[in-house]
Amino acid sequence: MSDTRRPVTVHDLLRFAMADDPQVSPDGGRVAWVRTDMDPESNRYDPTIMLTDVASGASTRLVGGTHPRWSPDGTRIAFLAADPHATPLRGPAAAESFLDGMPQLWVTDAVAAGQVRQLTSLRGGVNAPVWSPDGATLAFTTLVHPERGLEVGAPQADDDPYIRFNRDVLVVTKTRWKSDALGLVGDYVRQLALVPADGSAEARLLTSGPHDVSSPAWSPDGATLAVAGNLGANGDQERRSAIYLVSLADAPEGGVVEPTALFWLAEMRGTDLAWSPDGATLAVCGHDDAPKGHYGFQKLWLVDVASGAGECVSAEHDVSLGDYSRNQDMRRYGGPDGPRWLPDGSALLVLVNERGTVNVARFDLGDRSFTPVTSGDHSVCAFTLASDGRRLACVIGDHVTPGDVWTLELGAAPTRLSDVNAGLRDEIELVQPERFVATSSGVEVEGWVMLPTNLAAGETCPVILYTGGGPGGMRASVFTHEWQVYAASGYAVINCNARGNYGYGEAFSDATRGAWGDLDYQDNMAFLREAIAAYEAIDGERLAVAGGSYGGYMAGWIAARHPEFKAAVVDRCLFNRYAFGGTSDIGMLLDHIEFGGKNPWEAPEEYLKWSPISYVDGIQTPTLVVHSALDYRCPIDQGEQLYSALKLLGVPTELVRFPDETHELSRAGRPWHRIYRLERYLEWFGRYL
Amino acid sequence: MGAHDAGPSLTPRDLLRAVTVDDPQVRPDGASVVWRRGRVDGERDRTVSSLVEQPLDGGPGRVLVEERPGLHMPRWSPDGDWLGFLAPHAGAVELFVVPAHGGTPRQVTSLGGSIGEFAWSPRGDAIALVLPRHVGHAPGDGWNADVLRVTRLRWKRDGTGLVGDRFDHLALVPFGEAAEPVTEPRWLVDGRVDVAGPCWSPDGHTLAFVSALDDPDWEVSRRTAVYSCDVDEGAASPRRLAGFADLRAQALAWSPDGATLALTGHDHEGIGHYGAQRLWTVDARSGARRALTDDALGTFGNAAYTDTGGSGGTGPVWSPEGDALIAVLTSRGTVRLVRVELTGGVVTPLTSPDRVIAGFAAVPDGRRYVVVAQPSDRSADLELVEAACVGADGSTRRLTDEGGAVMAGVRATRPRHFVVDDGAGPALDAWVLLPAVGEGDRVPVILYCGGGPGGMRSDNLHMEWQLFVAAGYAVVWANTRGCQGYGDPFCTAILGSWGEADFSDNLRALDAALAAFPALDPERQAIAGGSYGGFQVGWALGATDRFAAAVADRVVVDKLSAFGMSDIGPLRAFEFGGAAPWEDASAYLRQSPIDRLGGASTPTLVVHSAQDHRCTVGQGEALFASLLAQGMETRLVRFPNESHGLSRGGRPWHRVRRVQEYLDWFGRHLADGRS
Repeated sequence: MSDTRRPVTVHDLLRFAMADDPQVSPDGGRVAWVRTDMDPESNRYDPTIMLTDVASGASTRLVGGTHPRWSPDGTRIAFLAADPHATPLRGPAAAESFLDGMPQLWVTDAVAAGQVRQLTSLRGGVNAPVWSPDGATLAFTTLVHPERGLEVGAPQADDDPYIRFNRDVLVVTKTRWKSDALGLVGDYVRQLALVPADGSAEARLLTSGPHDVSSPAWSPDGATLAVAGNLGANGDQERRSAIYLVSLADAPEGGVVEPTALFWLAEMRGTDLAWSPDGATLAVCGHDDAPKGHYGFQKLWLVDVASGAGECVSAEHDVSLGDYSRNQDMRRYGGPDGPRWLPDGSALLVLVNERGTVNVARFDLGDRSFTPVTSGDHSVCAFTLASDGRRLACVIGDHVTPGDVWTLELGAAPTRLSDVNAGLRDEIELVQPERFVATSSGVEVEGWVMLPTNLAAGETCPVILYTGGGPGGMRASVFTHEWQVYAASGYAVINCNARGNYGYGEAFSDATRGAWGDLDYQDNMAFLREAIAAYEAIDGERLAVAGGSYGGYMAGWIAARHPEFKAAVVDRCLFNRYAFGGTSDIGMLLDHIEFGGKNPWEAPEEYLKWSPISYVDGIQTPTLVVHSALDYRCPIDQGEQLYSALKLLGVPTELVRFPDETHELSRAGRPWHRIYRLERYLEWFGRYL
Repeated sequence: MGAHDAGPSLTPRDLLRAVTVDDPQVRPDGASVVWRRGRVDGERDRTVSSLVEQPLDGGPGRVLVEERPGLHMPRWSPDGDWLGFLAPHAGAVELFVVPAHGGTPRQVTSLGGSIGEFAWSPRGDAIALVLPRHVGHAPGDGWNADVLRVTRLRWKRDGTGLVGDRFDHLALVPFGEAAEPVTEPRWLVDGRVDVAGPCWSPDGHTLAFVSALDDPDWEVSRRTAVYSCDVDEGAASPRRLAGFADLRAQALAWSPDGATLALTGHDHEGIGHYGAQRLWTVDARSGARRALTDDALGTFGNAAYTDTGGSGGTGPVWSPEGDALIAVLTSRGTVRLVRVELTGGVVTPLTSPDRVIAGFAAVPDGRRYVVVAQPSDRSADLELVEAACVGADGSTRRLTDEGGAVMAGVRATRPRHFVVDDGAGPALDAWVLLPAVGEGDRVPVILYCGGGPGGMRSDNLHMEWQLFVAAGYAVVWANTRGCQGYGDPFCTAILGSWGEADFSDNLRALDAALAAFPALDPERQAIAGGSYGGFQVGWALGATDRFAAAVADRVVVDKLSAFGMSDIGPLRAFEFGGAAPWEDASAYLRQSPIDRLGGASTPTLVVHSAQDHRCTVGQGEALFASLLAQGMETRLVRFPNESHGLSRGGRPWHRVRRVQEYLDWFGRHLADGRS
């Protein structure tokens, strides 16, 4: 079957299409979804909203944009797209230039080539649009500066040069002022807003609190909006969040409403608040074991709207809910992955992470049990449910498929609605990784081994241990073009769900809290050793280690202890945790979980003990350091510190610095930059392996 | 709260009035001096410069090269027929010449790079250049041309930007009547080395320069050497003459007979920029070297930077007889032009201590000097110094009249010098600027911690401080331990122990000022400082609650992390006993204010430039985040597209905004005293 196909190349990156955000129509007859292609000429991603008829499978292109949202009556689709005519602020890059090109809210008729109407023209853009149950209004969130309110239309130029030439100066008074996704947001806060769906009036602000709100969700009677956030005075310095209720009846004419806190959790997955059909209950995923932070499993909570009492209904099940599949690099933004009520209120559909797979499951509120709705060695990253609760649309990906739209009736097998990479699949031979289980200090550690294509009998190959990101998250059955390229270039690629990952019980996940480089390190090395022993084709003398973010931390940690590695790549790393909390967009929130609530100056030795920079003089392996200049998650000075150290130590090294890129470069950066990055990796491996 | 002076008061916008008088170059026939005149173009938020020629006999000046942005480094050809200069052109910095009698500048080079410096051959037919050249991996193309692949250590340079794998190489271009710009230089140096300060022998056959050609670890070791290189075709490779622990690049000078090189530097291992620059001679053939001065004299060069004015070459320059060297000497709170006899080492001041000499040019007759003089009530002007024989303190005549512009007709407040002599440490030179104050009134006082270490304060005009005074604040500053000009032990006293002697000296000066000047209100004290001065502010936050307000500007507060973030960070191990952070973390933490902020209570404004490669922006961000985490009142003002040099050379309106932020912060927190 594979005889005529060729190995994948770096440049094939440009040819893969992605499928995201599967939105089934209320009547279940169609699915709106987003197809994204890369355009090599403009070095950009081009998203298109597609409409697929469930019965016939026929697809049409609706309009360029993202986040399609069906109106409740199924006649219209709201979506997000940048305003092509919006004028950016001229002059030296304004501090608010991160707002340039923000998506606006549009509505179109839900047929091809229907009328398109622009509903907003807000400097702060639009996020998370949701229709009111009566279809008259859309709620959304938008970035607002506390001193300026909603900024509509083009920014004002200023005559006074003092103001004009100082617009680029950023003034910050709060903790959360950086966002890797957005840029330097400064004092901008995400607020709730409304706009009539018929375009009859401008958008109006509903909230004006001190901190972000997210995930607006309408009550079934349309009288209330639920949002998630922490609006306390120090809200942006705390991990805990609450469900807040915004009562529209309380909104004075054109004025803002003070949200009322309904229910708090130590960790709340604020991406999906789900009202029960009768409006009496709100479902949310999270946990209330504060010290566990990002290690604690996201479980299903039901909150009584009237009383604010909440209960963790899935407490007995040692699984985390929502899509936590990581390490994919051909997916734009996934889509909704939160709980969905069945219309009779007896159960909810959720995504369950287990052993490297993500599947839809039905959680019965009666017996509090999970029943699989989908199954398979793959990752369902998003799903929606039609109004009658019978038809579901989802995006499924696996090791050889970036993602496609599928649909199913509950109880039946899924049928494919899209095949966005069909042509490529016929042209390119991809590698299907093999699952492998190792034992590390008595614990089973599962992962995957990818062997190079076209390895002749008796031939051996070098191996790349690829340390995953995290913590929290799960290495999964997802498509990673990067690894396919390494395999096609003659390298075995190994990765595993070491402790710290989801999918193997909460204790397994929590085992690395406060100790990055202990059990996670042991697990990675045990997995590597056992895989080398098990696969004759792998040459255990030709070892490389590579990883990004937390994986970069781990790659550096391993390199410092194992000079037998011939090559290392440390990408977007965290290397010095003492300096991290004050410069990262997640601030000290990560540190407080890892270091028991202590700030760096309260426990410097501990922060430095768990920092690879403290052991950098153990590195002898030639190490490539890759970093993005606008990485606000792990600031580039983390990678610079590693690079400087290696230069001083005389270790062969190179720093590759990508301007205008964020922490997401490897999976969402400019296409040609992604290609250049892969070429650097391959060149480094080729030089030293 | 305004100044009590009648008449107009200064505001931060007056910073834009400043005229820069810079880089005087005397014409070879001694009749005139050319200098760079810089001024602010407020409508376009930039500075523009022109080259002005001033007759030394006092006649009116004339513009030789019209205003344009980025014009700098005027240099006369040896025959005086041409004036060369550097200017931006098509994204590069190229060399231009204009005829001495005036006219349209001619473009000499079209090399497409950023020429850093140039020097005319005495034979007049060639020009030596320092030009960056890429030595490393070929850059990416198309969409990837912007990705930096770096293999050298010193890949970023504050002010210059991201150098990447470019190295400063020495090259020659011919000069003649040819109309077409030179597109290819003749390279004299290759490889992974930087070169600086090319200086021609009088016969035009040899170039001396500073580099580290034979030390593969030079990027780490800091040691550099003087080299000489014959420029004739087929000549041997450069010869190393003499190495030093710390060598100033743009301070080489050939004796008139071509036998000797003079320079400034020191060879005291392990103290780096804490060591005073001495004067040396080096035999141009054998490399044998001799120090003419010692550290007790002070340090050669101008260490007393200010935020307004100009500067120039600080020597050494040979007397025409070859028996003495003339140079700028920083010493004990003063910066003066001095003459040093080669035999016997007698040092004679040529200018009075009442103005800082920020640069000079010698008139070929050996009797007169054009100096860039910075007094305490005006920004810099050119003055002509007539030096009589050894022993006289020369008289001066102002050649330009630009220094009054920035004060906008407002009379400057003059600093009052006092000595801190409390027995709690060495005696210290200190100054206070006092606003005019009514009988019995008291004013808030700002302790201003200077940059460095190895800087020195004097009483030359600082516009920023005049603006504070205009708003009704007193300003106090002192030459604390860690300053140059008082000998090596005074400067090295803080090596490895920032925050101890230096911080103590700062508080001693403030306490002495409070005791000596009753108009200073002890209930309303503030502290401010930038860079190393910002370190002092950070240190103060964790050490005392006496201040009602603080401004921490371009700080370094986490030395452990700064080691790998700063453009000169990896060179700092000598300040920690030679250990890197992974070898002795506690030594770095011990000198890190970020590690001792617990209990801080002073409202603090944090100011930082986003492209500060010296003290990277993460330092200011971390300070801000730590203060916020402790519930303190704080504010971060982050300037994009600015370097460590924002306060002196940043975009004009940013500079105005920066001072306004200071004033707003002081106004908010010093109005009613400590709460």
